[in-house]
Amino acid sequence: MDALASSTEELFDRMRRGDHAAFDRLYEAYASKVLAYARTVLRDDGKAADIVQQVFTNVYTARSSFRGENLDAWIFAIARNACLRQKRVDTRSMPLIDPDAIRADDVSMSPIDVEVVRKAVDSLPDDDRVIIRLRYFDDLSYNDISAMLGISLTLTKVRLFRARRRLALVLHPHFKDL
Amino acid sequence: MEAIESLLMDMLDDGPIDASEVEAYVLEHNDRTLVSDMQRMHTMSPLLKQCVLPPRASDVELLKNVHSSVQHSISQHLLFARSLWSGLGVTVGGGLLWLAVSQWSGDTKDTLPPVAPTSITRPLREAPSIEPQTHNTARELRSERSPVTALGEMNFVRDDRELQQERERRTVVAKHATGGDAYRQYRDLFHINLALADTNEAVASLRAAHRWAVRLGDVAAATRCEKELNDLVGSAAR
Repeated sequence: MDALASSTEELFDRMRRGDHAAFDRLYEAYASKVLAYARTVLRDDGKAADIVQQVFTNVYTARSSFRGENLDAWIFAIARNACLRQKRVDTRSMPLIDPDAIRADDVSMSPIDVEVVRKAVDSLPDDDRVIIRLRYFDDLSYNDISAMLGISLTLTKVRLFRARRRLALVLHPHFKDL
Repeated sequence: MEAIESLLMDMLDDGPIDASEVEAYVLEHNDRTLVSDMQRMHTMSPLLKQCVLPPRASDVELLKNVHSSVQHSISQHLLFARSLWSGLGVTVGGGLLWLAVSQWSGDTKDTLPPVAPTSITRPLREAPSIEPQTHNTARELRSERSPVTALGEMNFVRDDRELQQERERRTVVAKHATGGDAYRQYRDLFHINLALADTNEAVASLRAAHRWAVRLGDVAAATRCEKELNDLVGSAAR
C-alpha cells in the first residue's frame, strides 16, 4: 500500500503540473475502489457510477486544494461527502425504510451459505453493512477502509468487530453451528 | 475495551484461527458473552471470506464510460474557466482603462490651470457663434463655394497658404481694376476670404463688389451682393 501511495502521490503531482496521462492513471488506481464504496453505501449501480464521475471531476478541479498529506484520505473524503449528499437527496425523495421492519426472520432458513450471509449483511444497520461489505465483499484493506470512512485504523477495526458481532447475532437463531 | 476489540478483530481476520486460542484469549478477560460471540464470529470467518465478490466484467465497461464522462466534464470545466477568466479579463481591463481615463481626466481638470483667453480665443469664447452657421471651417467654406466663382477665373486652391497668397495677389489686382473686372476681382476676393474664414475681409470685399455692381447698373448683381451681405452680417451678428 505504501509503495502504491507514494506512486499515486507522485502521479497526483504530475497531474497538478498538467500531465493528463497521470490523471488517467490515478483514475485507474482509484476508480474501482470508489465505485465499490459508492455501490456499498448507496446500493445503486447507476448512482454509484455518478459518484465516481463526481469524485474524479472534483479531484481534478480541486487539485490545488490538496495539501499533500494523505491522498487516499483526501480522495475518499470527496467520495464520502458525495455519497452523503446523495443519501440526503434519496431520503428526501423516497419513503424512509423502517429499520425494525428488517428482522432476522427475513434471512433465508436454507442451509448456511454465502448468499444467506450476504442477505443478513444487507439487513444490518447502514454503518455495519458498509464496513462489512467493504472488508469482506470488496476485499479492501483496513487502510483503504479507514481512508474511505475517514476514521483511524484502530476505530476501523473496532467498528468492524462490533459489526461482525451484530451479524453473528442476526445469523445465530437460524444456524445451529453459530 | 476498544483496544481489546481491535485486537480481537486482528485475531479474527489475520491472527490465530484456532478456536481454542481465541477462547483462551477471551477467557483471560473473564467475559462469557464475549467468549460465545467470539466463537460465533470465528465460525463465521470462513463464510465471510467466501463472500468476496469477483470483479464484474460489466464494471470495466462502466468505469470506461465514467472515465469518458469525467474527461468531458473536465474539458467543459476548463472551457468554462477559460471563458470566465477571459470575460473577467475584459471586464477588469475595461474597468481599469475606464478608471485610468476618468482619473486622468479628473486629474487634468483638477490640476491644470484654466487657460486664459487670448486675443484670438476671446471672441470665440465670448461669441462662439460668430462664424456663419453654414460656414464653420475653411475646408467647408471651400467645399461650399458659391457657383458665383464661375464669373472669375479663380483657380481652386487647396491650401490656406496658397489662398492667402492668392488673396494678396487679387487685392493688388482689384485695387487697380475698374468696371466689370473690378466687380469680378472683389467677388473672387469675397470667396477667398470666406474660404480663409476671414469674415471681416469677406464683408469688406463683398461691399466693394456691391459698389461696383451699383456703379455698373447691374441690378441683379447688386441685389445678389446685398442678399449675401445681409446673410453674412446677420449670421455674424447671431
